[in-house]
Amino acid sequence: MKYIRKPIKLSIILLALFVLAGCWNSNEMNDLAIVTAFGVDTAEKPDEISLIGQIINIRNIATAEKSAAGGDVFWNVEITGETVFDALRNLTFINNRKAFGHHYQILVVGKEIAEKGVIKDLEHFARDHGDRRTVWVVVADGKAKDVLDVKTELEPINGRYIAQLVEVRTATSKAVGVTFQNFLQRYISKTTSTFASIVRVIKKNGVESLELNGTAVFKKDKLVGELNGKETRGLLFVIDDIKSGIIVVEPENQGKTSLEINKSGTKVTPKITDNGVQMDIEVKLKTYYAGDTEDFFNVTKKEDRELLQLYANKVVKEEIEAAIKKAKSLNTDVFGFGDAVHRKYPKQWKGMESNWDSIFPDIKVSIKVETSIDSSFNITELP
Amino acid sequence: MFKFVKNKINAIKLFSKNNEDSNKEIKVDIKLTTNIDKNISIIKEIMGLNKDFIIREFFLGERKSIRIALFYIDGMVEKTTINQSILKPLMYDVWMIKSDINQNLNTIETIKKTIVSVGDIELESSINLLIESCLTGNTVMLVDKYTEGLVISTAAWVARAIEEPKTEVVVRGPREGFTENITSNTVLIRRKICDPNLIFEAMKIGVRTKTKVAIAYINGIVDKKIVDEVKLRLGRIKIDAVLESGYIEQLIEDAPFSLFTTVGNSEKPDVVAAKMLEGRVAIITDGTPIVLTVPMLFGESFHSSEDYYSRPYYMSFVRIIRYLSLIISIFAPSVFVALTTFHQEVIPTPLFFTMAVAREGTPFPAMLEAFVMIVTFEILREAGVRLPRPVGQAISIVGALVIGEATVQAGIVSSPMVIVVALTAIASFISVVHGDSASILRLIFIIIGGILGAYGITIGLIFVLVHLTSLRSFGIPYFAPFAPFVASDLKDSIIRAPLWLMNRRPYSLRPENSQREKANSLPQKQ
Repeated sequence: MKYIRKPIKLSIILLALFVLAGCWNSNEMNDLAIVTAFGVDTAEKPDEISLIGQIINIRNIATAEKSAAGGDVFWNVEITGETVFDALRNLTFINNRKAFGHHYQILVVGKEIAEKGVIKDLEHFARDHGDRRTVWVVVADGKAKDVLDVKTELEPINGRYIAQLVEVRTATSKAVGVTFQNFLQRYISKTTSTFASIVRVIKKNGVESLELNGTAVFKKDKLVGELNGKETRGLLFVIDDIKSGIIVVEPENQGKTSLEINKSGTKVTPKITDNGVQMDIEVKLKTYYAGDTEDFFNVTKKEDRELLQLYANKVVKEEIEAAIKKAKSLNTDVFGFGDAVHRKYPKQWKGMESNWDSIFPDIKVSIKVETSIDSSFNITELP
Repeated sequence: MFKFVKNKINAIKLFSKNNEDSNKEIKVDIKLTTNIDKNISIIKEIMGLNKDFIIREFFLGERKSIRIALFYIDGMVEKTTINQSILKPLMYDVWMIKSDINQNLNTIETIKKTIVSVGDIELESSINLLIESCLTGNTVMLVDKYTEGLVISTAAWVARAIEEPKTEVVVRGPREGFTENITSNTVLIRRKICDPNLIFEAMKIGVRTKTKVAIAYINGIVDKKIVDEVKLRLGRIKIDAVLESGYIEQLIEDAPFSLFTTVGNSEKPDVVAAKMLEGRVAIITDGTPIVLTVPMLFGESFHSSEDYYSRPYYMSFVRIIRYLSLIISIFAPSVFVALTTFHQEVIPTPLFFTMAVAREGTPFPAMLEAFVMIVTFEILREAGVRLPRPVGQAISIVGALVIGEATVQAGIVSSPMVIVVALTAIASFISVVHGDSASILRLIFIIIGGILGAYGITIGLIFVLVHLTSLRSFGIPYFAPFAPFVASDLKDSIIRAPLWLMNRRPYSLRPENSQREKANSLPQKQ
């Protein structure tokens, strides 16, 4: 290097900067077909799969400047291929622009293909550098195509609508929001089962609309069953993913009344005893008293408060028990109990890992719920 | 790379050295003779056909025996001074003291010491110097039989009054600005700093213009090495004319190949005074209100005198805004181009949809679009600056309509691009000093960003930063206090610390005496 002159040295460095950068590609925005949702379904031929790309019809999108030109906002392109990537590339046969998946919002898996095992079809979306893993995964109750075809109100782009539907789940905590990344993480774990929300098409007076309802539970990558809303919240309590939600309590001889969850924290402690594995689930719940009641409760009074807390504990406990019961019946460790045992008893785990499927249904669970009522929205007595 | 180019240019310079002295003054020193007629004819010959060159001859003495001649340039002298303080005493009042004259004293000494009532009078024997002083507005008096002439200071000409400068406008702070007159400029500084250590050293630069240049500094604060360096560089200048301080700036700057200027300037005496009080040297040039200050640091361009006059909290915020706007004015269009052509995935999805809708149907690539828009903006700006004011307004209307409305309406340019360009344009007005370098960098970065994306912009940014940190201004690192990092000087960088905290002068400038105020100057309650 000593003998190379400075300008030459400098230009070598400069060239190296540009050559060593790796791949790059420029796309003008108006040459892209923006995909907002991908769906996978079974195809007619058994060895093929059907891919649905929901492409934005950019000219029909209304902005502040111009109103919509009329016509569909999105265009669902369905194409079959031997693999997902094959189908994705086949998309160019019927669509003039290159599919641009960087901004897709939702991955819809058809029920049929989910039952057959879905990971080989989703793997491409994990591998492709362009597609992000923060998208939500939902399972269609039926064909993915049917879900993606529904014309939605308020948000005309169907893919975004479903994504937002998943995002507002926290209001009830009766549905799960599983990103593709989470989905894969659970799948990779040897014992934990993965799950995803279910989206249904409901028909009322001939108008189709979408509904987020329940949770699809997978055993490895195969769909094996569903949790309903109550069970789903039980699941969320155990995996400590509750953001908000309404707990309806019904003290005896008194009407229903609702508590809003403000904060929830769960501690799951595994224990290996002589009788087998036991999981201690400890839920600490902070709620607001939200009224909706016939019989007025004054939560500033200790008796009233304790009564409500007692019943709230009961409701939460029931939900968790229901979830565990269902999971046991499906023999799917959606709670990640296996991982918890692995963390606490790494030595014993080695013997348990291979036969976790036979251990899991016999796990004993002790549930402790502690509810506190922190506020009554500044109303102590009804006027 | 710049060094490489520099070496080449130095080589070229060596070859052309022979031509260098073509402007050298033909200096044959002519001394005055005892014969006044001869002297007058020599001066007449030199001044030639000049119509404004006035020669006034008259006699002094009882017997009108002493011949006297006055020379001056019409319009550059104060006529009342000549009439009242030179001609009247000599031609009329002298009769009152005729006895003295007859005592055969040295007449010219008598005239200097007792008769002419003007402050500045000097004796001079060289005709060249006499003519030179005549050309600067002095009156020259020759007395028969003496080989010395009197230079009487009568300079006065029509000058602009002290006004508020058009640039460097402040809300709070003094309104006065420098004028074209060097004397009034030095006075303006002297009025700010009442200290015998404030030194003005005079120089003349320019073979033909003989422009007066003053080097101003405060003894005991300034690093003497900087003063010596300034003198050395000014002494090296061999040029026929210095019409503005820009001539000097370009001939003494450290990095003539850099986009960034390494010489600061100001039009306001308070700013120059403040800079001198921090240990800088000011170079005042006759004929221009722009005073140069060296050394200049990169961060200086973000400072305004008002930063120190107003309270520190808002001013610190404004400083941050200024830094931000330089970054915006250089990088906004290129980053926008890079994002829309390479990195669409980093744009938030709702924004991406809006942008995609706006881009739909526009015919040109984003890079070209940005380039054309920025060039159009530069054209409009230049037109706005140069055109007479009434026409300038028409330009801005056309510009606003053409760029803002019509191009978007016609679908030639996407509306986010217009917003980005407008933001860039506004941001570029904030940093006046680096505005010109920012304009060029902006175009370079648009091209890099359009070809290589954010990767290219990063490389470009690294190059610019490496270049900036390699610069020096009169021995002081240009990018101080960031690189080299001087923690104590950060008080007056991106933020402006309260005055009671800034007890010391900036260490970056290596002042001889760094104490500015007593430590712990926090205002106290009694």
